[in-house]
Amino acid sequence: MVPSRRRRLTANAALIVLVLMVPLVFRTKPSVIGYLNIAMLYALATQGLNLLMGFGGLVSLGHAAFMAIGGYTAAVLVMSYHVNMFLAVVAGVAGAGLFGLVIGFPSLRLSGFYLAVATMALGSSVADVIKRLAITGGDYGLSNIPSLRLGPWTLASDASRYYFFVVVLTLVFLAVRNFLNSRSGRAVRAVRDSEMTAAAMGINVAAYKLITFIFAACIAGLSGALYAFTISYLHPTNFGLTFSIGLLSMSIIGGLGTIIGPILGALFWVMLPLIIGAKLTYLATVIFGLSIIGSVVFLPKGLSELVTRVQTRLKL
Amino acid sequence: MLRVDQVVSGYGPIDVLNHVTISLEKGEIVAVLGANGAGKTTLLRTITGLIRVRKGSVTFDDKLLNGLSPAEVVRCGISHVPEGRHIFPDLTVEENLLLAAYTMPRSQQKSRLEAMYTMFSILAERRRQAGGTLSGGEQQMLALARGLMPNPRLMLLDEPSLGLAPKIIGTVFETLVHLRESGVSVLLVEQNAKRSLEVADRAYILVTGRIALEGTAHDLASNDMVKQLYLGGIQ
Amino acid sequence: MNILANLALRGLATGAVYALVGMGIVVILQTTNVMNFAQGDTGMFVTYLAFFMITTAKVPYSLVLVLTVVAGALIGLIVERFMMRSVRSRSHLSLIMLTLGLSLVFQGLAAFLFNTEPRLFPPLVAGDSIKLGPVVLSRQDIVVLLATIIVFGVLYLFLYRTKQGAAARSISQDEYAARVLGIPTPSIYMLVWAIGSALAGLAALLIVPRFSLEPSFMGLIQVKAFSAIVLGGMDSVFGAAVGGLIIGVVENLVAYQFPAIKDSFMLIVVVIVLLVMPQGLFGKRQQRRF
Repeated sequence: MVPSRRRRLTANAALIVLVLMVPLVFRTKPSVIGYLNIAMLYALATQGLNLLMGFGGLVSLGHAAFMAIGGYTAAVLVMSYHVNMFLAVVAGVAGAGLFGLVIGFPSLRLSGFYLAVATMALGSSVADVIKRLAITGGDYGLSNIPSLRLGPWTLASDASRYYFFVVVLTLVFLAVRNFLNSRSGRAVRAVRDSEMTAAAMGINVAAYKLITFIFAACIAGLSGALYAFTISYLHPTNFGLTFSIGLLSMSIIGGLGTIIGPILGALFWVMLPLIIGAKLTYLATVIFGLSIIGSVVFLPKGLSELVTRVQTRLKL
Repeated sequence: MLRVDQVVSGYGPIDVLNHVTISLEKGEIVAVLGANGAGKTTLLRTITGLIRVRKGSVTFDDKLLNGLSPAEVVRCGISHVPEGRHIFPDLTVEENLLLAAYTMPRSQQKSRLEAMYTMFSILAERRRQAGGTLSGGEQQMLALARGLMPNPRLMLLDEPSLGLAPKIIGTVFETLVHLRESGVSVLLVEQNAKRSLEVADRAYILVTGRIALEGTAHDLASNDMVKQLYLGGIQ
Repeated sequence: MNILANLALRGLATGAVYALVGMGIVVILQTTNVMNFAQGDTGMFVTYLAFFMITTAKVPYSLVLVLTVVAGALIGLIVERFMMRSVRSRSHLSLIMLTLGLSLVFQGLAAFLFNTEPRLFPPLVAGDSIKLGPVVLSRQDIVVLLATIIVFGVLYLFLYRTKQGAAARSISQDEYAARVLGIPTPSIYMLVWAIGSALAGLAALLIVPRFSLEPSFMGLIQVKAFSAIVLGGMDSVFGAAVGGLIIGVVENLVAYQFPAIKDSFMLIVVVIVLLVMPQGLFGKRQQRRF
């Protein structure tokens, strides 16, 4: 046990050093850091979805709506009401959580295809409502959103945001892991495996489904709020069904029900179009589609399964 | 006519049948008896091609059935009446019957349909009614008629007496005797051992996936072990 | 009054669009138990092929119509044979993923091969709008309405007057029993996918002149089509058709009074329908509720 544990510690330490080194390595190419930042924000939102689907067994085709609510709430509060940015982010998270409660209610009575259609309908209508409102900039979108500030410091550079997002991502991932290992997390997984059995064991199925939905929505809301202050621009169509499906793809490709899956999925999603170049960028969509089909058919745990397989082979 | 030779089959990682060998000659009613979970239904499903034969062989009139699809097995002249009847609830009685003769030419379908309506007059009355509205006994008649629709030479019958009133059970077993007279062989799987041994010519006792005992129905009915285990003690 | 009648009838024409797409989805859903999220994009992709046949190869419209239907059917056959067959027993979630993946493939391919610029599709039938009493309808709308009625009739005949149709219905009720009886279920699955996808192609081709051809043009229409089948009860072609028409009419009336909530109104209604009466207006099957 001891050697393998030491090996794991070494591997983790190496990983941390590697992650911290990235901005230094790409110092001359700040755009790469920018894309990594986006990938981390997507990974954040995907983690929520992953929690919902991979661990809770609930499907959501409207997850981008949570990001939209988090992002727009935070941005509008800061821009129109001059609310402190930290509080605005908190409000964005809370707003998304509240909507998670609303979307969560159908999940108590619906399953499978029905829940997919319900979340798809609700998600699409959120994007539609935002498009019609004046305060959100409507169809023109919301531009000139201020940069992220952390107390007295403005995180204006991609590198500074990179480190901040690494911290946020780590904290959220730890929170998710702790949640999953807690009593509630076990209950959530029990509900996924069999609602009937879970109910028979005295687990309050409805409450845990709602909790999962709210938790997932809050994480997506956080992602949306940070996204707004990073990109400085929001537009409703970016949070429509297409992006919801995008988030879903990231979590499938990365691997449902795994903690690192969302990071792998989001990296794949953001980096692939860059790697294959602007000319072939739409080919990336084809590859995403094929990857989804491939992961469902051959790798139910997605890319993370490949990583695990390689790990076992290398005896890490 | 039917030979099941050293067959191994099952679900997922589990082998339910372990080297089962049975045979059935033309014009026979052969019963396979055994407790719940002994593998009786699995045996029928394997013959029909619903489950793959893992080892051994199934032949029917010297034709190898291994690897054939259920549709192909039906075309060879074997029909399967599943446990629990499985009537299509929203389809009419007539549709239920016609689907059982799916690959038959239309003219032949018509004559088979008429034959079924003469044999089971209650079905003729209910021909336009949805299958789900029939009573349990009527549904069993429909299930039997569906089994006979393709004009099989061998019919596999899975628990035809399950959940039926004793009077209707009597009718079901009478039908089997009629069938034998008209030349249809029957492989009968039942938990109701007493009734089965009364109509069957020969029988096999299946215990956890193996044939534990075989013989003529008469011999088995007087066998002490069979009496004790399957016929409710020595009368 | 005239305005209302006009609005309602124009809504009916829009609803026919949803009905056409919805019927294709339902045909596949009720037999194979797969909700095909790639329905819209299958149609979109086939419509691109039709576009080039008409504009570049100058193929006559009637022949294009036939070829589109055939192309759709072929796609359906391939999808069933090489994708859905191996995963038939997977969870709903996996099946949703698969068809979503397929829809991305079609969108990506269309954008990659034909670029994303919107293209104007030549109208189905030339000519001015037609006056029916107080109501004015474009020829395009009339064609779509008629097509909806014809497609519904043909589907009805298929499901209730052919043995393949009866087999498709029997599979939707009890797949095991169908196999036991010797119904060749794999070929029925292929047939149903072919019909559903052919409908996807037909629907997209008929409605594209009202929009413009771009890789995403079926997106919102498909959402509405799903709403239509939910309203109709998920398991009946009739329900999908009527549900589509209802959504079209209500949407158009709402849009006249409250343009801002045109698209979201029906979506919210659909969620409420799902919650309050999940069997929809015409569905029989009770969905699993807990």
